[in-house]
Amino acid sequence: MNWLSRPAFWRRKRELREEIDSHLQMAIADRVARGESEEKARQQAMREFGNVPLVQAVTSQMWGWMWLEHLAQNLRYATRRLFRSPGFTLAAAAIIAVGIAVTTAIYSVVYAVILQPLPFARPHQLVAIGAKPSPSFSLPTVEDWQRGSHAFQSVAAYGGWSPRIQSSAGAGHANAGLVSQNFAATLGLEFARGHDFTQSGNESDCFGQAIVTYSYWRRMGGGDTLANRTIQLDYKTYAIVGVLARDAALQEMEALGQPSILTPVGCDPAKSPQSRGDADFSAIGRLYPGVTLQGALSELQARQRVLTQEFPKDYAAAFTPVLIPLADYISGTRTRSALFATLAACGLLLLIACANLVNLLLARNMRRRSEFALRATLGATPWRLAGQMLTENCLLSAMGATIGIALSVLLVHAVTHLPVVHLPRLAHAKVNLPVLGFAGLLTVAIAFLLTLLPALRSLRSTLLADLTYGAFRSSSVSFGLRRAGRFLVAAQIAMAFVLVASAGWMVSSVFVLLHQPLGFEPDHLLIASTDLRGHQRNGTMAPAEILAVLDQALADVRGLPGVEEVAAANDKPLGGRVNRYDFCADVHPDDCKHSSSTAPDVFQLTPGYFHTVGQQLYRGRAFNNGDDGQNHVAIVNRALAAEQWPGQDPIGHRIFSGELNAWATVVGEVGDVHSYSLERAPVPNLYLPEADGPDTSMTIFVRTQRDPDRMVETVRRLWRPDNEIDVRYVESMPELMSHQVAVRRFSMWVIAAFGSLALSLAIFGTYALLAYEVSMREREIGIRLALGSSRSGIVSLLLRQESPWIGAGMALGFCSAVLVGFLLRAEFYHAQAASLPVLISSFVLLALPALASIAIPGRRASRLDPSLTLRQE
Amino acid sequence: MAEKAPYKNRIELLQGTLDMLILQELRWGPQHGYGIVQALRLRSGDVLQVETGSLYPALHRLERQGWVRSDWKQTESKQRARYYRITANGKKQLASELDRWDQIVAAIGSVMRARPEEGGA
Repeated sequence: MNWLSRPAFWRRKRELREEIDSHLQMAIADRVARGESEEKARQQAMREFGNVPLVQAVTSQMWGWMWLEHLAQNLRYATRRLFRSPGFTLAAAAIIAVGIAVTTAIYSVVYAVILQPLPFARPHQLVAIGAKPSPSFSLPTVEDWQRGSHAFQSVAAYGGWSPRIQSSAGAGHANAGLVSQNFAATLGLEFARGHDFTQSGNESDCFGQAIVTYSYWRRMGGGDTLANRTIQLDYKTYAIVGVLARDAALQEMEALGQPSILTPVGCDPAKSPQSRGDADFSAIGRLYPGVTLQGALSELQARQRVLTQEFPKDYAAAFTPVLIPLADYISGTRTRSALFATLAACGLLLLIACANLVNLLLARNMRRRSEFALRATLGATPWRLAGQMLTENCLLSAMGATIGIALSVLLVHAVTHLPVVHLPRLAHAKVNLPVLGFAGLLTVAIAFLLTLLPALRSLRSTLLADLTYGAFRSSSVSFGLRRAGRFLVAAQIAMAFVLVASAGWMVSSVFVLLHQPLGFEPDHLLIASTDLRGHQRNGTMAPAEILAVLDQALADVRGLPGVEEVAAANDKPLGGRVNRYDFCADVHPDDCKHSSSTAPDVFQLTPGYFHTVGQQLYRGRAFNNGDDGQNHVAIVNRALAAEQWPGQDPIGHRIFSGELNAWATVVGEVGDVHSYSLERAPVPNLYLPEADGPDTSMTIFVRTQRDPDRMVETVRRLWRPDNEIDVRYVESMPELMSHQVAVRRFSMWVIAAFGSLALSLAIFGTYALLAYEVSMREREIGIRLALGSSRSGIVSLLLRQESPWIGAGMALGFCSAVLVGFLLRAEFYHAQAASLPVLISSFVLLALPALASIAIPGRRASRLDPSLTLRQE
Repeated sequence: MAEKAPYKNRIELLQGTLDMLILQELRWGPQHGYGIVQALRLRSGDVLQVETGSLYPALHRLERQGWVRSDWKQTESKQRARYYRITANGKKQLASELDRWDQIVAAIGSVMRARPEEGGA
């Protein structure tokens, strides 16, 4: 039987009625023909026929569709019941709606970011190739891996590139990617317009070609024809040969460098092939069908071992490639675990809400016991009764789900348009078919959860006790209800404990992140990222010219009112890139002969930098105007000093840097800063004067007297777009820091909201059940009081009887929280430090209200006049 | 339950014989429910009175098993009625039920008419 037979079912019912009717008509006609009066004939015929509805019912049982009829009956009855208590129905539907809305919304994000297949052809064959200990490698390495491989159909290399971009979309504000010519083919990217790079075998044929993403094409003005559409990268003109399909939104994939523009590497005959030792590229491989990740990895590692032996100077001894499925790589391990943790938190919240609802239903079913018992005596099977409850709860959760799904559409819209959250493919999150399927499953699961416990109770109903329930109210009703209710309270408390503790850890890790020692003074610091080449110059500038432009720019800023100090560096703390060159110190000169992953990051600075950003000078001196690029001086941070000259004064030691291509003398030692992000510990840094080899991409640091955010516009206006230098962005340091913790802060707020919701739900549930129970025991309490028990004795009796359950819930919650904390330790920055205080405060937060919710109703009951409670009923 | 008419000369149908009677009746041609009741009463000399509460479930059960088929037709007196018709499968079923019936009648008959054999004279 399927749902399609439903119309047939109703047709058959109609036909049966008609059949019986025609039977009666013929019987009447016969009797009239025999001479009976019309009236008498009708009566006799009806009498002879018997009970029409019964005949109908018995006959329709022969069709084998009884369940459908039962369902219709159950539905009718359930609707009536739900409408009879609109308050309960609304409250329950609202709780379910909120639970489903939040869970469905988070699931749609999880689906879009993690579960949805990548917008590439046969995405399961794609793997991201990285490496340990340094994450990137050179183009010749990628080519050697691919040559004659049995595991990879093809391997494509890609690397970041930050050229000056000028197109009809304006200047700057996009990322470019340098990719191998087979990049689009390897990923299986589809083109909305045009075609892939020319791969004629003649490398120079693809010279000056570029592919842009669909969204960048739209920013460039769009259009159907690619003829004469060009883009300027670093003052060179590239012809746009292809526009990627809209789905292939590479610009959203942070793991791939968010490129909007792809240009092929190895097509410029003027550029010599990159050396094997450079490490600028990552790779994506497409596996042959049937090749496992493990198989591909062992082939790759074997090939790399051969390469390392062959070229010991170019590879660190420990260098080894690693493989990650591309989907995992793009969504990011951190994002995955954060999202799944949020989804799990949603699930817990939903469970707590369900437990609360079950409590309500149990109490409500108490009042329906005599009804169920009566139906059972009239022949309803326990299954029929359980089916009745299930139908009611299905209807209830379907109502909730309908509202919930509507709400989740709004929620998803809000989350995808939130400016702070940048998750790959988040923009694609919507309530689509798989998400609706999930919501449907959730709805059914909720209906079953709500039915399970009440149905179990009613299935072993004690008929006599239940039937007489309406007449006599015994003072200690239904031990079963109390046990079920207490079990639910314990479970709620345990789940709420986990959520509250997780929320506490989230809040404390964001707090620790934002308040850790940074190594510099972020307040009153403004940063402006600039390209000194500007729009009127060309790509090549003489060092002296660069320095002159930079000096002028710094002088311009220094002239602004409210500016205390100004300096520039080629990279910024918190969000710097890897700038590594060959490096060795005088104590280990041999290091320069090997490729080493431990080389420090190099920063080029103007004089006054350390003072401007507030980085502490430990020993020696800072750079000054006398460091003109001729005297070769350098400054190290404490991490580098401790690494190269442990326990010694670094001043006076000499180092070699590939950036200088010369030896330099260490003249100062400064404190460590977080150069990559708030979350990554400081690494060894080497500081060189800007004058030693001027960089055109400079970040200008401004220390302001007042709120730096108020100077953003002033500084931006200083260099107009048609001015001498390009400004990429101007931002205050506190703002940049808050961007860095944005995702963490967002999930902190989500979890904190869940935690407080869980807390209040659990307390509400506990209070409601215990207050109900105390009210059921009023008579017993009255007897105790009449027999001489003291009022405080009553309260302590209640506390003694109920607290074991709460204690069990707390203990279970404590253990689960510790376990969850261990599982989620990657989510919590420095969580170990905050671990115990958070657990203790969660304990107090839950235990006190729980105990209060016994004591308050108990106290109220103990104040009742026994002569009144005993005479009740 | 409806009040039963006090037919004195009615006998209860033996369990499982109603299906056979209906199938047998339908061998004479398509018939509607009322017609089947009347025909059975007539042929049994007013002894067999089929309850509608048994007839219609039986008809629908037979139809579900594929032993009869039904169509809506007009009676001679222009009354729309559902006519049941026996199918080929129904005829086979009838034959096997008839066999069984004969066996039962013979068996019961030989029990009831048996004379005491030993020491009974």
